[in-house]
Amino acid sequence: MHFITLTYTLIKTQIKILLHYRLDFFLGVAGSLIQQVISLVFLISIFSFFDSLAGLNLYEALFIYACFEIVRAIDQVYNDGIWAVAWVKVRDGSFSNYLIRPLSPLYQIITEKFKLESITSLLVGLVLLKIALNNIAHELSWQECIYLVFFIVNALIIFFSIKLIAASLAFWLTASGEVMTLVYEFSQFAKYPVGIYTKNIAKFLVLFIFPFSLGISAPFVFLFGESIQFLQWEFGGWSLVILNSVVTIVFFAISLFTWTRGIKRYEPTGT
Amino acid sequence: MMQSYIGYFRASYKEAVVYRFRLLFMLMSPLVLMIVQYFLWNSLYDSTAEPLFGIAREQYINYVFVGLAIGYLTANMVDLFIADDIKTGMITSIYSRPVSHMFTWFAKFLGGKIVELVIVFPLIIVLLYLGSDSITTSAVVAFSASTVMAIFLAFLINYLFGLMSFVTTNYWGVMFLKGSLIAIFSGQLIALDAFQHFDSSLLESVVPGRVIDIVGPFIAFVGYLSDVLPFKGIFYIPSGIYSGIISSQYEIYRGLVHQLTWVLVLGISAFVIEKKLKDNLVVLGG
Repeated sequence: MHFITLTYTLIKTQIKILLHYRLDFFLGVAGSLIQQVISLVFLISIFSFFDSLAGLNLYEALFIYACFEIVRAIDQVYNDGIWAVAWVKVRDGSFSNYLIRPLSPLYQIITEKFKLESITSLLVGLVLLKIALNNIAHELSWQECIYLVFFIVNALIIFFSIKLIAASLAFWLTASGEVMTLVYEFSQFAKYPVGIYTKNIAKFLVLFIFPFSLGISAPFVFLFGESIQFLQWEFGGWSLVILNSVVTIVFFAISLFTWTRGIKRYEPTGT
Repeated sequence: MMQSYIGYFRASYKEAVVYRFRLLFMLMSPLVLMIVQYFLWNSLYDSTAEPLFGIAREQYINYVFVGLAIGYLTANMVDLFIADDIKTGMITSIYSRPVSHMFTWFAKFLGGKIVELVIVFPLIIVLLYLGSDSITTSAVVAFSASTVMAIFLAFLINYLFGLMSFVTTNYWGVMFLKGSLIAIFSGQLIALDAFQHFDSSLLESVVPGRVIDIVGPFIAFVGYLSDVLPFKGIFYIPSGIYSGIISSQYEIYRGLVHQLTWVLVLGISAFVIEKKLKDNLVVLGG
């Protein structure tokens, strides 16, 4: 209960900040909308030339794209503060502030900044998902909705873990903003179906090293009875659920491990 | 006077050299995007025999690759630093110095870039010679000139966006807007030819007619805007010249003139706008 009231108060503060910088907020929303519209136009214009992308038609590719937008938007809304840890907070010693308060540092980092602008991206993602589903002529049953939510939560954990691992490196490297930017860039792979990565090494990268694609493509592959091929293995149905869950848990565990290890190692610079 | 700018230049250069590790990672980030683009476009070209938007496979892949290298050369965070100075009030101490704010930043920008310029730029030129048998010296000269102007333009665009913080105080939203505008209108997302070669009748099988009526003119409008706005000068023009997408003498000249015009227009605007905004500066208590 204490956490709920605390979180509520913190969100209220965030909204106050946004209302204070109204023009900036408005421009951010406009920028986000423009990007959404153009990305969509990009997708459509590709399909005006081609019938398929790695065997998927427009709406199937749109489904994956929508999942990507939804996951990335939610991640941006609640998990944006971690960037500051990677870029400056460890380097300039302001990370110490988290350690002297009677709350988990991770909780403080998450609640410190809610990027509410990204809610527009989330809405666009949901609309795209609806459009895709309508045109694939597939009505989701309630079980399928649960699977979808399950996979999206897993994808969110994958995003969270990879970002946390990269940010934790700051405890060893003083600042890891560049590393984190590089690692986060790999999420771009997840916008498109795994099938376009024809080289095994690339597939290995997007499935196991930076498993953004595994997380994002999973709902499509599972719900529409497809499969992901890697070498002689084929992941579809329940084998995909297992693979997806194992990778998620492993990454989550590694991230918590590096984070706690890093905090123990942390030495403020005092400047 | 010149001495102080050289000082800024050297300080910034030294910082770049000291944080070599950081530089290495910054070099690798565009590489990731290149890989995604490579697979995406290869996969797309695999499913068609015809050139896309009038561009052949090798040309497009070259366009994307060199474009990302240019994106790397032009990348800078001048806007973020300026916005931060404005928000924190530091800007008042900067204005009290007897140097031009814009030239100071330009000197710092060049100082930070010089190492990358010396490594990346010759590499691109060598690859350009190795990659194509028919490459002419005039194309190499045009490409070099275009890249230099792209660097100037990228600086000016960032500088002007940074100045917007005078009006908005916060910079998150503006930064987002900048990112979107550059992605679309510079040709980073897709070669600008796509907008010009867009044939809305092809959409008939995938979307309802009502949507085509909106999407068609909308894309034409985006194509028109991208042709007029300065953004194509930081990506599409140099990459287009390199890859041969812009190949006729007329088109090359047109591109270079476009860049030069915008460098002048934006440079002068930055001076004028900053002077105006400075007079209305409000800094919250320090």
